[in-house]
Amino acid sequence: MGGMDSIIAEFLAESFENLDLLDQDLVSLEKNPDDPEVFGRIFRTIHTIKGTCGFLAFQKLEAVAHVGESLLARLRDGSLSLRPEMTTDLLSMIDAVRTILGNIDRTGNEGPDEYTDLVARLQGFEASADSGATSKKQGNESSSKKQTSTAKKPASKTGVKKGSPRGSKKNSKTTTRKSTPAATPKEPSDSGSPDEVDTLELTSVPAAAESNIRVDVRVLDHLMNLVGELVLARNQLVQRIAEGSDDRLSASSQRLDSITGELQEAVMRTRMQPISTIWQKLPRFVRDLAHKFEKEVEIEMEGEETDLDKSVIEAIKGSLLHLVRNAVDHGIELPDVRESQGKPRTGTLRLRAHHEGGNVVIEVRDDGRGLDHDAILKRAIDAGLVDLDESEGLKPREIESFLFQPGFSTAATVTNISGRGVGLDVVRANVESLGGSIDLQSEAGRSTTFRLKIPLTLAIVSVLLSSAGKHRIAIPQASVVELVRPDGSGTDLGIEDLNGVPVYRLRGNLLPLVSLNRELDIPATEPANSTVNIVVLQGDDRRFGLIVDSIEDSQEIVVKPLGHMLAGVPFAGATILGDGQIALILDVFRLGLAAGVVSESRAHSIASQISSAVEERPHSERLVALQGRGDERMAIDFETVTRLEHFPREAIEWVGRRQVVQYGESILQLVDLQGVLPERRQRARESVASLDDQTVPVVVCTVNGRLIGLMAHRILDIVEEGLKARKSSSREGVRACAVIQGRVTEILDLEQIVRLSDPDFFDRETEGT
Amino acid sequence: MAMQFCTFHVGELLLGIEVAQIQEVLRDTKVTPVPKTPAAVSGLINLRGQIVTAVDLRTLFGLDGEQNTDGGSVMLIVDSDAELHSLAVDSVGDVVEVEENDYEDPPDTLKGESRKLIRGAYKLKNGLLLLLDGEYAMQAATAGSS
Repeated sequence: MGGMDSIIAEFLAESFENLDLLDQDLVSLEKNPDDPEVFGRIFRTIHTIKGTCGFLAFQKLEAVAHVGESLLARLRDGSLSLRPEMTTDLLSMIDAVRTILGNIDRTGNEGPDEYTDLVARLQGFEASADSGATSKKQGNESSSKKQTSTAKKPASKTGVKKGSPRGSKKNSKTTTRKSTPAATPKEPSDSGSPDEVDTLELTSVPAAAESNIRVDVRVLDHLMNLVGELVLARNQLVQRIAEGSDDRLSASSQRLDSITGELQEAVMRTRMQPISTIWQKLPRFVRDLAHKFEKEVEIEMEGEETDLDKSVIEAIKGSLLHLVRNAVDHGIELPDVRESQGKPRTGTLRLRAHHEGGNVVIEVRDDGRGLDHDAILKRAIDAGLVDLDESEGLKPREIESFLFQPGFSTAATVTNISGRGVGLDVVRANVESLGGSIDLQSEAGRSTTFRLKIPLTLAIVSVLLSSAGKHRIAIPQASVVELVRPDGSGTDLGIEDLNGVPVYRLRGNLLPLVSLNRELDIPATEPANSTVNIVVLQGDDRRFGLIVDSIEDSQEIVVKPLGHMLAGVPFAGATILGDGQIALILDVFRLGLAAGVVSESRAHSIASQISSAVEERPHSERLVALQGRGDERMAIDFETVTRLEHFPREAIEWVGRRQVVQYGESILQLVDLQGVLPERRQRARESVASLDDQTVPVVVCTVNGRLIGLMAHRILDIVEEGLKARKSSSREGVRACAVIQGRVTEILDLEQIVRLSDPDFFDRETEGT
Repeated sequence: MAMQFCTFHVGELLLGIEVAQIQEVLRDTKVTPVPKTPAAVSGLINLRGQIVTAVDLRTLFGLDGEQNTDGGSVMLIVDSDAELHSLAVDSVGDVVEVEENDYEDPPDTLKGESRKLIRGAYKLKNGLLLLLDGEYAMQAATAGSS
């Protein structure tokens, strides 16, 4: 029983692999119908499947494979010539085989489908050949039949596997014959045409099958772990030995050292696979797509042998298919259109892969129509991603970046314009989650190139080791922007308090700070007035500074998963350091989320995503977001804000109609935002009852060189606002409306607000200062 | 049919887990605490390059007294659902063989969380061997509020 299972498992694994090759071969056969080598391979594969499933009693599979094989036999002997619809049906035949194999794999039986249509169609082709051929060349007919059987035999399983490369044609011919005497009718076989011999010779295989063995990935993972441990043990040993004075021992330890290093590298390599594992599926994929869209597409591949970690390959597969689909669907034009533009009718899709540093670069290039910037821009404006005025000065790169926006892609109309935005945001998210990047270049009317840059392996990450209390925390280098260690001490550190949120002024920009100790509930180990280590992190689309106790070192580490019990922690995994200690790998995004510096939903931050995609952020501005009593959102220019304060409610005094508060040595005039904006007065009165808060948040602003305090219900956040949906407003005191963090927010006009509340404020300018 | 149990002590309790489920017993293992985890998760241990989550049974059973997680605890490495877990216990006893006939449902005197952690009891000559529900222990440790 068990023996049978393992035979079936091996059969399945082998067949799936062969089928992928078959797809590729059929497509290349369509272009090049006379290539006998390809024919030989196709024939052999189908035959192997047929033969084995006959042996294993999978009857449907055998039946399907059988008609396919017979048709192929006709094609090979020339009594039929390959037509596109035949290729399509042959491909369907392969799909059917794949489906059945899949069913066997999952359920142990062949599944309910009978595939009678397909079988009938394939037989139909054959029948047409019979009627056509019998009259023409009867003799050939018989020889072809015979040949079918001749070809079958050497292609049997053992023949395929053990077939050693043959030295010469002559030799091969004899070998082939030897293995088939029983099945071959004696008579005309030796007088068979030279062509026939060629074909037969090609049924022999390069011995590649012998140099590969299938290994369970778990075995490799285990091996990796053990080697990792070996390296640790070596480190300890080498250190000990270096302390001693035994020369011979240290010579041995050096040897051990280098062998272990090599071993580690070799084991790493076992997990690597050439990118052709996914690419070999593409010719078939592209052919089907091209047929569907009625386009002519040629696929070229360069660098198929480029190695990548298996897990990376799995992870990028979907994205790559997506880019290819996009290129065929939107990039390459219809043949007639191409011709009218002086381009060859057949479009070319070129895939290139190569290593670059620790990364693999994959390019998907089509020679289609390129990107239509005007159409993209129009669509971006329609989708509310950018405002008409702001769209004027955009650079081509900035316009292209819209393609990666979530808001851009969902609309069905995208296909109608030149856009390629279908799901590109997903591709980008996918690539970025692997620590890679994507960008695109386009030449209008000529080409579009997507360039993916992906780290070689997911298992090894470069991290910055830091500590929080007694915990050792590894921060992925990919998220680290820079390290800052402010000089000075105490209050001179440059860390300011903004409504209880510490911020740091980094080259003029305010950086929200997050204390790692506080986020991880670790009691602070030292008073805050000594120097502070700030790690500037990029979490999703926002930057923030992480205060850590110390920064140790940059290291390459092997990521190990945390058990499912630790699902809720802000760590992406753990690693074992050189000294055997465990360090936790920080999940920067999750930490930012917990600390409230990263907005909760990606969708909410469309605007800031654009600004992060556009390198120079020319149109972005910083705003302080406020919440009114009725939960309405307001924002005020950050530039005008001097400080954020909280005053005890009883400290606020009335002077005439005006509210004031003692502020340092002067008197700060206050403006109640609720009372100023016309239609809010009503609501303000209604909610007076809720004014039981002990403190009043006040935004201290500078207007014309004088201070004034704006009373709000709550001070929410400092936001960086990029180009985005923004409407100017006709309301008094409101400069514009914008969507900030998913909420419609009124951006206040400070001067007008002050005027509304105290018309004389600016006239008294001189006396105030 | 006789079954074999690996016995261990947690506080006053004599507990047991089927021998087949125990991969190994570790002593003097360094536990790396993980911030923001439930109290019953004592941290991570490095098991020959594999990272294993450690559950503190003392905390789960609501026993007082800090288990010395910095070095002294005894760890049972339990294999459940292809994932390894580690149970921190006070001490490990012998492997005992018990008869099916000696099995009884958990004594009613056990209350609360402890009741759920125990699947049943075997009457031994010198006391009761309580059968620990390893899976529930993992669940309970994860579910505990941080």
